[in-house]
This record gives sequence, structure tokens and C-alpha cells, in this order.
Amino acid sequence: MISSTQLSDLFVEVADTLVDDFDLVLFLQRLSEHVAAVGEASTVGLMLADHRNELRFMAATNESGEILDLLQLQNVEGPCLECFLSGEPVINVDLDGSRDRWPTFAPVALGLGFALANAFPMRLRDTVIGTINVFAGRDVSLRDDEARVIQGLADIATIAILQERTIARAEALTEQLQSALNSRIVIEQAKGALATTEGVSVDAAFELLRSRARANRQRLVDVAAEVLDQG
Amino acid sequence: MLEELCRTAVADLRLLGAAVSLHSSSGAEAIAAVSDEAIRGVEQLQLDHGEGPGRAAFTAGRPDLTSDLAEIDGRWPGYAPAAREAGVGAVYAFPLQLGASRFGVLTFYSDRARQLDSAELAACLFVVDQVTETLLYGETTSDEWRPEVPRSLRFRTEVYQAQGMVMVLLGVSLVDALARMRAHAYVTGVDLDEVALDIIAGKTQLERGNDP
Repeated sequence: MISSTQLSDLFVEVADTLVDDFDLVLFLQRLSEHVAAVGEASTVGLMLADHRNELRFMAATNESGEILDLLQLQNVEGPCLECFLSGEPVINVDLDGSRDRWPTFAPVALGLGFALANAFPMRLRDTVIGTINVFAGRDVSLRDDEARVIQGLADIATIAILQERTIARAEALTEQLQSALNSRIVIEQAKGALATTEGVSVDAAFELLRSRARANRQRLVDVAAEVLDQG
Repeated sequence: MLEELCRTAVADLRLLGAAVSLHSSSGAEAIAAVSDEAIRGVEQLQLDHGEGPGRAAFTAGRPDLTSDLAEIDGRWPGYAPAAREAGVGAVYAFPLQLGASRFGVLTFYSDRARQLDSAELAACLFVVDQVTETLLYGETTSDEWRPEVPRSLRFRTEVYQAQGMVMVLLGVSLVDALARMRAHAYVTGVDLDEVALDIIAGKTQLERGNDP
């Protein structure tokens, strides 16, 4: 369960969303890590829907190729897609017993060592703007109070992205989502470039970007843009 | 053709006009296409005044959507009154970009203040994709201006990673890196997504060749 220290860290980070140079991608990254702390020993991925209602990768506690694959697979089938379409959370679903429900997704997830799948909607009134996926091993099913906390974190993520409690205009939503989606692309391009320059994996390149952003007090997307500028 | 895309969007969304301007990182700007000649002068106002939604969208890498040009509280003190005098009520500027590759801006104009709903915005973004694709590839693979038509510019995350790698490996721009990957996909008959995964896994080396 999330500790009070982690909670106060989270509150500080949420307050940071109100400043000008707020780093949305880093915030979502850290929020994913907080969600993982609630569930214990789980892997968390956050997806956002674009204007075509396709789910795009935004953040994860593990950015390995296998996890990216597992997340992106769910544009066709999986807990994430069900959650996105219904607007309802999908909780503690046993993957072994879901081979009929998710004939492609379940074997891939099981092959990666996961036993349970969850997906929480990021909702704004009638719209679902994305989902938070939580994958866990056998003994780690979510209790009711943990599921409630994670839904709360999902709601916080929605607020951070939208920056207003109620978005009256679809235009403001579009501006924010398009900005977030493009920022993620810049970061992915920079991961590739830096991985090649430094001779490391793309995951390691991402950690390099994060430490550089921390050291220089810059947003992730700005560090990424600089890397690509020199390329 | 870019003009065709602009004209169709304007007709279907009942807009005043649309224009594509190309921006370079050095600050040079040029109007590349307009839905009709009358809107060229309106688009030119942004260049003349050195401010406006297009520049804001390009610099920030995010759309700048103003549904009522009369209600913007002192933003663009030179441009806004001139635009209103030219008959513009609302302006919606979308950057033309793919991550760090930024080409310019597509701006839609309305003759009256108007809030676009989510369906109209999705339609705008579809045209943005088509224009971006045209600038990248010299053509768009989507013939129909309809949001359901899929496929253009729908890349897996890994395509962008591979794009960055190829940029460094071959010492070319991001745009050229993507072009090389596409060419390799076409020549080998393999999906672009697969090419990207192979590049990341180190299974494929794109050759330094002659630039097209």
C-alpha cells in the first residue's frame, strides 16, 4: 500500500502541475511508479487516446520492448481496451482463465510472468481519455481500498493532463492531449538517438534523459529536444 | 496537393479558409498553400506582424485554438485587431510535426466566433495528418477525408526510437531517417513496424547509400 511519505511526495508533485514549466511526461512517469507502489510488485503502463481513439503509450514503470509490446497489443484486445470502451475499471482478472476472452493478449502477458491484469479509466465526465494498466504476479491481487486509491490516482492523472477541473471546451482538451502525445514522440526519438550515441539500450537511454533533466532542472521533453538538435 | 486538402476541409467544416505555412528553425516562414487567394492576405497578417496563433503553435509544438478573437485579453496586440478587421472571428492553428521534426503550421479560419466540438476537432486533426504526410512523403495515402480511414502516420512507439537511431547512425535528419526506413520496408516487403523492431534489436543495418 502507498505509504504516507509517498503520498506527501505525490501531493507535492500534483502541486507542481500548477507551475509554468510543469513536466507532464515526467509527472505521468512518476504517477505510474506511485500506482505500482500501491499494488506492490506490479508493472504499470499508462495509455492515452488520440483523436482517432487509438491508445498510445505515454508512460510505464518498465519501458522494455516486451512491456511496450504488451501495452500496444491492447489496441486490438485486452483489459485496457475493455476499460477504455466501457469507462469501467477491470480488476483482478486472472490471465490464465482469460484465454477465451483475450486469445492474443493473455498468452503474451502470461509468457512475461504476469498472472493478474487490471485497467483503470482516466475519465472526464462521459469521455475516457486513457487508461492505467496494472499487471501483477500471482499473490498480488488488489484489495478494494487499493483499487480505490489507484482510481484516485487515475483521476489525478486526468486532472494533471487537463489542468482544469472541468474542461468546458473540447479545444482545451485537444491542445493538452496533442501536446502530450507529441512530447512523448520527441522523447522516443531522443531515446533512440541517445541509445546509439552512448551505445546503450533504449531503456538505459531513458534513464540518462531522466537524470539529465533532474540535474539541469529541465523538462524531459526539453532535454530530449536538445539531444535531437545535436544529432 | 496541399491546396486540395485545404479546400476540402474548408468546404466540409464550413470555414472561412485554411492555409499552410512552412517554418524553418531559423525563423524563416513562407505560405505554402491556401484554400483560396482571399485567405492568403489573412495568413500573411501573421508574418507581417511577427505574431499570432501560427507562430505560437509552432514554437510550443501544440495547437493554439482561439474560438473568439475578440476575447483574447491583449494577446497579439498587433495581429488580432488586423485579423478581425479582415473578417476573422476565430483561428485554429495546428503545428505540422512528428516529434522533434517540425515543418510548419496549418491554420483554419472562421468568419465568426465558434467553438469546435470534438468531432470537428478530430476532423481537423485528420487533415493535419494528411498535410503532414504530404510534406513528409510528397503525397498522402488517405484519399478520403474521413476520420474512419486509418493507416497514415500510425506508428508504433518503436518506430520513433528507430528513427532516432537511424538519424545518428547515418548522420541524416529525422525526416530522412524515416524515409530510409520506409524505403527499406518497401524494398524488403516488410512492415515499417517490423523494420523498426529489427533496427532496435540490431538485426538490420540500413546502408549509407545515395540520398534520394
